Amino acid sequence: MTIGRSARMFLGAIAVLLATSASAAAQTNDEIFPQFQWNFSTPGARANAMGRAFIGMADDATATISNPAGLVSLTRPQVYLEFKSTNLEVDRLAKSDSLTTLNPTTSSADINALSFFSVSMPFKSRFAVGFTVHQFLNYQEEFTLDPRPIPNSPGQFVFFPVTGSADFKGTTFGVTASAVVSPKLNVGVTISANHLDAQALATRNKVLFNPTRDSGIIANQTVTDKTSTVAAFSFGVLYKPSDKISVGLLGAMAPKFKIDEDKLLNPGFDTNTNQPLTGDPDFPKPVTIAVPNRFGVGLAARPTPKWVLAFDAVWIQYSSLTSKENFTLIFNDSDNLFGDEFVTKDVTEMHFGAEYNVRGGNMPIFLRAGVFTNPNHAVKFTGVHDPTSSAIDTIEENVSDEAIYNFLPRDMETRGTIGAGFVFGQRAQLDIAYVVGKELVASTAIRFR
Amino acid sequence: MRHQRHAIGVALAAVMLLSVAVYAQNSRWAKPYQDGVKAAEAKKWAEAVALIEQAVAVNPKAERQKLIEGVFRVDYFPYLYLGMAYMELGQFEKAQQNLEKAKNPAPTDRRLQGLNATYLARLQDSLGSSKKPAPAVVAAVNPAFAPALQRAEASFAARRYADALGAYDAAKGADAAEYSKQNLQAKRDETARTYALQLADEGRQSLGESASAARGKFQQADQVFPGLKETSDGLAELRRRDDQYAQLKSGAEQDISANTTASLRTALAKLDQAKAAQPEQFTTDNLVARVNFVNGRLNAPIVPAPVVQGGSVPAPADPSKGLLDAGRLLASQGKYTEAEASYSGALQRNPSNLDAKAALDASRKYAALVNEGRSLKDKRGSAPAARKSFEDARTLDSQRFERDALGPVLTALLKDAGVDPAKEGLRQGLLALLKGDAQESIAILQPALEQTGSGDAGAVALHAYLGVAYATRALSSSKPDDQTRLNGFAVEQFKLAVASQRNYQLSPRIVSPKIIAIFEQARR
Repeated sequence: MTIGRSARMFLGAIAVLLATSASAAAQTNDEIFPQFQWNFSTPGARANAMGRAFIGMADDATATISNPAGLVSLTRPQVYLEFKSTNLEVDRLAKSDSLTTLNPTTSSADINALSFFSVSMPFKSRFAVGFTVHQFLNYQEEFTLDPRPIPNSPGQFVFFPVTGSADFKGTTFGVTASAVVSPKLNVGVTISANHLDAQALATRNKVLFNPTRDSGIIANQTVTDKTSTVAAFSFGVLYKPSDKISVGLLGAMAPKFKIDEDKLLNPGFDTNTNQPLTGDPDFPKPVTIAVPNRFGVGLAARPTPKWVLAFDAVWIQYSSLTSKENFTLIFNDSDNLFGDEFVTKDVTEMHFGAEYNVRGGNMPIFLRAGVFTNPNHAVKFTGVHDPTSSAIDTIEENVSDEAIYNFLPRDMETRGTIGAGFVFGQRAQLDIAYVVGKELVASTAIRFR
Repeated sequence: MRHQRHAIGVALAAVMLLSVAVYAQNSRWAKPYQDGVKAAEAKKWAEAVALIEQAVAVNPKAERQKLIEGVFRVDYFPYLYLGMAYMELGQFEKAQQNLEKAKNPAPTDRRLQGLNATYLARLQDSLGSSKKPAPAVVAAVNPAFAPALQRAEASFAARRYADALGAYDAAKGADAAEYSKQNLQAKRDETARTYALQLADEGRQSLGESASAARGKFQQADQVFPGLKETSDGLAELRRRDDQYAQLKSGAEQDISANTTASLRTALAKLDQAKAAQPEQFTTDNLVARVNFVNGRLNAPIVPAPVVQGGSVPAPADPSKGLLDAGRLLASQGKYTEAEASYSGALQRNPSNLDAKAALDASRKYAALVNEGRSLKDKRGSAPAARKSFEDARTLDSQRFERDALGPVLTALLKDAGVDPAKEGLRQGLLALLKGDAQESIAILQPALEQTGSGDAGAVALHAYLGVAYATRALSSSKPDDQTRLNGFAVEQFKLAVASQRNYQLSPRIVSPKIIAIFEQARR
């Protein structure tokens, strides 16, 4: 059997992508990160409405992120803009009895942002370039945790009550180049400068007993207020064996930010007074925020001119978040933790979507729907606790981290998506999408001569 | 470090893939196609051809709502636009090839469908009139030469003959040597001839409505291309009508002067004929007043004519004219023997009365042809000769032919000869219409129709053009009653045509807009 030149190149590209899978680094074991949500939603309301399946299609300006190889599909210069309204919900076991009842408290924040902007331009009919600004992370949360008795704690320890806030914004400034290699094969690469602005504050107070309550006396405070800018790139391949089928590959080598976290102590802790906080001599500690790499394969089919079906499978290397080499132990009272007790699963998300052209002519209208899965990838504590051990500190450490990391249910998230698209002649499109219970996305593209 | 190593590996792979040879992509048809369509809409045909051919080279598959990128689509019918553009550039073979390709898939948009149909029809006309494709635009020595020539050929293809002639002259002015080298004078002459034929055709169609308009067209045709038979025939017909009108007018005046009941009635008949011959002049000369005057006299008690010099009426200036007119009146009443006697009498009185001689000769010739046809039609092997005799007789006097009920006889002869009477009738009827003889057309089409089954495909056209013939007569008739009656016949025939074929269309090249309007009214 003969394999065509384009097919050989395509298989070669897969091999290259798989061979260069990289490991990455971690975060910390404070209260911020166990529920930290990365925003890997595909840009563009069209893609969002189609269950975020876009790697195999990649035929609009959002290809700069979804699959850079698709950018060369553009036939005219265009400007693309996306607005996103996200309802960010975070479940925590926050109430005083929650570690026994396992009833979570949900904090909620509405985040509105211009999340994607690009200017793209084809040239010489075989190349395309684009400049992209993409907000890949916008995490904002405020939370409070009551004093919570720790289950299985030999000393019947109680967690400090915590008041926390986090505001993480990550933005990509990317330049994309895409080219036609053969009539059936496109490739593209996006090279980006990625900026992280990280602000987090968690204040822990002393606990008073009988009844168990917050004393208002600060025990300690962890602070992150840093920015970091690093380079990254993504690479895509788009193979079109026919007008009706296209297959795409995406490799996103994500940025790895370096920030640090400081820890402050209250000298008046023992005297039950709040005094000016002083630095912990072991801090600040360097913290690596390694955004998980992603590798995806997508298939798009046009069984009839009116229908488009798309399917993506995206493998996300969440394990990089908790890899030992860069995991920062903010809390290690026993000195018996090594970092490798915290693990995160790599997961494969499945995205499926469809688009139907309900009206043609000069002002076409499209309806879209889809579904995607987001397997649970919460951090898990795997430290072994031995109730017979005499190392009480270690046991306390272990039961604490078990309570923090392992008590929340680990359900796979499955969400439906719907949306519509409106096209205005050859000049403009307006798309809207609703990711059920989570996000409203609107985007528009303006094409120029 | 590991991460960086892998990153470098991927970057290298990307560079390697990007550094290999690149190819034009399939979707690159869109821009040249859309630009080409715009050029075509701006009538920049050569530019349209270049751009759309470029699109077809990238993607030859025509398709409705073809995907460009993302959600942007466009109806991709390059062959239709190529056909149009080649047609406009006079490259008929390429136009034909592309318009054939444009049939499948056919555009669903009504505007494009209309364009397709129009250009196909035009192409058929063009191929019919000239099998030779127009030469491609050649490079000119003078830069102004090629555009002028291109304009000329495009104008010719679009039937803007006056523009074409102007453009040929501009090309000649730009570079006379190149003009001569390419033998463009012959093409200019052909354009002029075609234009003159068109003008003559328009003149002929105007004959029944406006002699001055017809005269203007014929004179213009004569200026554009002198010596054309169609033009000289038209001008001759106008002169004949002028003469006839003048004779009828003066004859009527003489009859009015005679002031007898018979002469007044003859005067009325002559005035009626004068109106039919030259309706415009009739109005200009205010002969309606004379008609009213005569009618007044006829309704009033007849006053004896004044008796002078021995009790006789003063002799008319040409005593033969009265007899000639009387003969014509008798002929119009179907009294041909009496008419001939009257013509003979006129000739006896005045042997130099050529009109009387012509009328007598025509009447006798008609009778001879009919007799000949009748005697030959049953003889073995003589049917073609009989048919010719009948056809000549019909051409000579269609009204008499109709009155003699010879239509079915001729139709039977045609059938025996294997000629489709419907087709032949339609052909002859159209020829008669084009000659401006609606009466003859009716005489041909009516019997052809009677011999054709209502379900026959040809019956539709026969109904339609019989309607046209009636409508032509209605429009040229001076009597309101006649107009109403003939118009009613026309509408009836149009309705029959439309009933057989709902979407039947009259050719605007043959039929005047006024009649097409009547047809469309009948369709509703």
